[in-house]
Amino acid sequence: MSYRIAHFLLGIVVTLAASVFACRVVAAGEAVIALRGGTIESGSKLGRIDAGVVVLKGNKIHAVGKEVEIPDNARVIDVRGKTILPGIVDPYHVVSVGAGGAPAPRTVTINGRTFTIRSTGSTTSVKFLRIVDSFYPFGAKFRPLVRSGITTANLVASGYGQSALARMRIDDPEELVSNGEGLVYASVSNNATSLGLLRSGLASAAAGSASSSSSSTAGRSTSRTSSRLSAVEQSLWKDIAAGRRPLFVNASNSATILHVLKLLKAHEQVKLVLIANGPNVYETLDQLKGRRVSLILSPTIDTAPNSRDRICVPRLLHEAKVEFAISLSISQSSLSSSQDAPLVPIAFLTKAGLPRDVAFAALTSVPAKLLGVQETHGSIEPKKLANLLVFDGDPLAPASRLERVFVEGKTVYED
Amino acid sequence: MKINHTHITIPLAGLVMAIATHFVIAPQALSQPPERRGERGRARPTLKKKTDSEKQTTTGKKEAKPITAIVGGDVHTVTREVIRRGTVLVQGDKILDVGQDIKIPKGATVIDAAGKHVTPGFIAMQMSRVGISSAATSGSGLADSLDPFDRNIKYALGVGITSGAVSLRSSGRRSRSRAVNARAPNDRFLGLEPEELVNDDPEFNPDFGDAETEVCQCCGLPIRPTEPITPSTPSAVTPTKYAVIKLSYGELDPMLVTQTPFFALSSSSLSGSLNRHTWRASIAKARAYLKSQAEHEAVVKAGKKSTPPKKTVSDDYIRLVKRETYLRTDANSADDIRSMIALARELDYKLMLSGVAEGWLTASNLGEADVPVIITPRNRRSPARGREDSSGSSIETSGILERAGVPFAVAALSSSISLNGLAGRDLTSLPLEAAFAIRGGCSEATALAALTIVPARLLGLQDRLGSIEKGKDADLIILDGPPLDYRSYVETAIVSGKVRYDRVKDHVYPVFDRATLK
Repeated sequence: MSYRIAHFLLGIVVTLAASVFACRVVAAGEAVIALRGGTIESGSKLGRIDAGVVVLKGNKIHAVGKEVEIPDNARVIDVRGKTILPGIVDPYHVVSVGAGGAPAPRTVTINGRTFTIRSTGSTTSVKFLRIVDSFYPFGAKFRPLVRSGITTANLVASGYGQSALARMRIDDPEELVSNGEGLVYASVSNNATSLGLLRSGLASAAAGSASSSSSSTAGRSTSRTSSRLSAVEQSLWKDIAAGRRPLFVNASNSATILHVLKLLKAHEQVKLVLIANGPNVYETLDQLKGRRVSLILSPTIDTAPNSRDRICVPRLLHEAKVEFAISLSISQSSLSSSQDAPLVPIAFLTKAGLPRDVAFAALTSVPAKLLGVQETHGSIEPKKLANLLVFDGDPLAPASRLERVFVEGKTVYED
Repeated sequence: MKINHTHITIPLAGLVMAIATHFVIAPQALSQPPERRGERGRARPTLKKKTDSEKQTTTGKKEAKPITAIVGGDVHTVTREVIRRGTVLVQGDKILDVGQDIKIPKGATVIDAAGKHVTPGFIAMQMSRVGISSAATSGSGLADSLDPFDRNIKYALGVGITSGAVSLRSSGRRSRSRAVNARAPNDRFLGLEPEELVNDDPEFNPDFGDAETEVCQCCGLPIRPTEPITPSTPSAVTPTKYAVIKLSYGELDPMLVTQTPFFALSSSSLSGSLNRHTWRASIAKARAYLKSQAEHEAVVKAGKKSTPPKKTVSDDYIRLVKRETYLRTDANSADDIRSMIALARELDYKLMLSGVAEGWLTASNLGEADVPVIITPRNRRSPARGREDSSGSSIETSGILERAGVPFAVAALSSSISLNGLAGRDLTSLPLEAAFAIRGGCSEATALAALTIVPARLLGLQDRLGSIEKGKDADLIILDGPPLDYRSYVETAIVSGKVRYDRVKDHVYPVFDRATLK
């Protein structure tokens, strides 16, 4: 008798365990979440959907719309009266990386005596730095970014190197970097060293293509000039010269913008992405018009140079038909001060005449395009990654709070 | 948490509303195009309609460039007569025509200059920290260091300076310490040259050449003037790098006009027997190279094979020996001036001298040797004791030089705009300096030439700059009075055909209309 009871109990335990295990498999593989009843600022051709439904399956968006069937196994989150936005893509987030920037002092032995030559900075050439090689994800402080609604960031450093694309999976630092093979970034000023960097890069690209096609003498001379560049750099510059990848240039002043534009006149294919501050862009606006250039700006109302007139540079760029993206994290201090209502700086811009949809696009779809991830990022559409923000009201109203942040289907922040 | 939010809502919403209304009230400020900001409603040269031809150029590239007409002003051509109520036509970056009865083409932008004066832009023979970022070093780096948005450009344009010779800091620490010797403008104190600071005290600055023999303080024996004990190293001297830039505010392409417009050396590199020996040797080397190069070319021309000679001197020396550029050096005492002239005659190169405090004593020597000079009329040099009537500077230098037929350019007391015109000593006092030349006895035309065509010739740019003539660069200024009157202000400065400075809009200098003041 007792044996039978024991057997029965064992059976129950086994079935329970099996069912729990089965449930976990489903949960781990294809967690289904439905956000129901919210206003969806899709950022895609779907436009703005009132009282719509977004269904997330795994790390992707499964369905979006007004009349969307919610699967039975979905965890339904009621977001009535709330607004859903695509996750913000930050095209230019500067991270500090160890000793990458400054070259180490060299030791030289002459006649048995040892000398240490400290690098002076200005004379030494700029070192190429791959973010993915020198970035330590466990020490990264990305919580302010997540609290500001940034779900994807292009990580760069000061100087020159190759960026890395990061998803803001702050719950799992090992998952942070989603693509280490990023884009070339360079901080440029109006001096021979930094402009020479761009020149030598483009020259090496031109040389590479010439040597493959033309005579041996050309090939010989070019191999000498490009010998300083590593193979990684050379292939990157080749892509830039052919327009397959954009070149991110952080211009330190207005003059630098003109210098870079002048330099690129001979390289029409190059897709330039300029990071510059508002007054500098304002001064050079006439010369930026009609060029193959996109800009990355901070979300601020600026003052016109040498005057007290306030200017809304994003609006001026929009009117001049120059493509631009906005990086919320360019100014780290403003980022941390605006975390409760991260889009208030954007609200200033829209109040100053920047159209609302252009402002949203500058935070999401435009940077996604600049980073070459427009297929997976930047809008709320089926099959794109489930990077979503839930605001408890109009995202641009100062009273609204960012309530929840999904990064690839995972809730990484909840108010 | 939720309840808290509603409480915060009210003040925050109020804040944003306040900010919002700020923008609603002044939306124009945000939308105005750059050209129209900051006008302060005052009579100024009016820009009549934004040309039709300008639109045409954007559509078809082969269309003629837009034309600007400056109408009704007194045109100081400098190389010819003053044209009363004349017209200057500017097309692209060049002067298309100048005269009195000129038909204004259809669609031209008209700048009304009635009652105003039009002159060529002034050229500064010595300029620093204008239009170039401070890190600029010599040579190839220059083109990359130009800064067309430098605020100093506006200050310079505001007094009429549209181009100038900038000296570049040579790279490296060793040469920087030497720069004091070379009188690099970076090492100035309060806009004064080191020499100016000590010059007033003859005890500090004994004139070895002709001063009274000094007496040793310990033994009472006379000290004979000697060479300096440690002469500078006998390596071939490298000239101080200069470049001529245009102050085309906001545009990069026209800025760099030429590099190494002359061969600049400090007088110290040419004094002392060792230095002179090195100098002579370098010149001889350049000549030898030219000779062997000519021989080589002759052989090649004859159809035979020949190896080109090895170049052992820099191009700067070769251009000097070919008499394509001037040697620019400084000399103040009469003896120094004469010795520099003699050296130039001996080695056969073109010479220009700056400083020339005792130029009034040596005007005939300068005139005979055809040596132009750069003077600063307000510069002072104390006379030697006991020879007050035949040494030191003179207020009449400019007049004496003019009568002796010595062309002179005028330089300001300082080459930079560090003091924003305070005390009238910096670069912005350049037109005033020329006005002081008039006080010294030269004619107004000569004083104006000293800011325009003479410096253009000294820089080898007389085909492009320095006068209002057909085909020259459109670097013009429009003033509200005679160009060298202390009351006159530059109303508009045009560099390379475009308006780069507007007195009202830029508001760098006081804005008022003297005619309406009571």
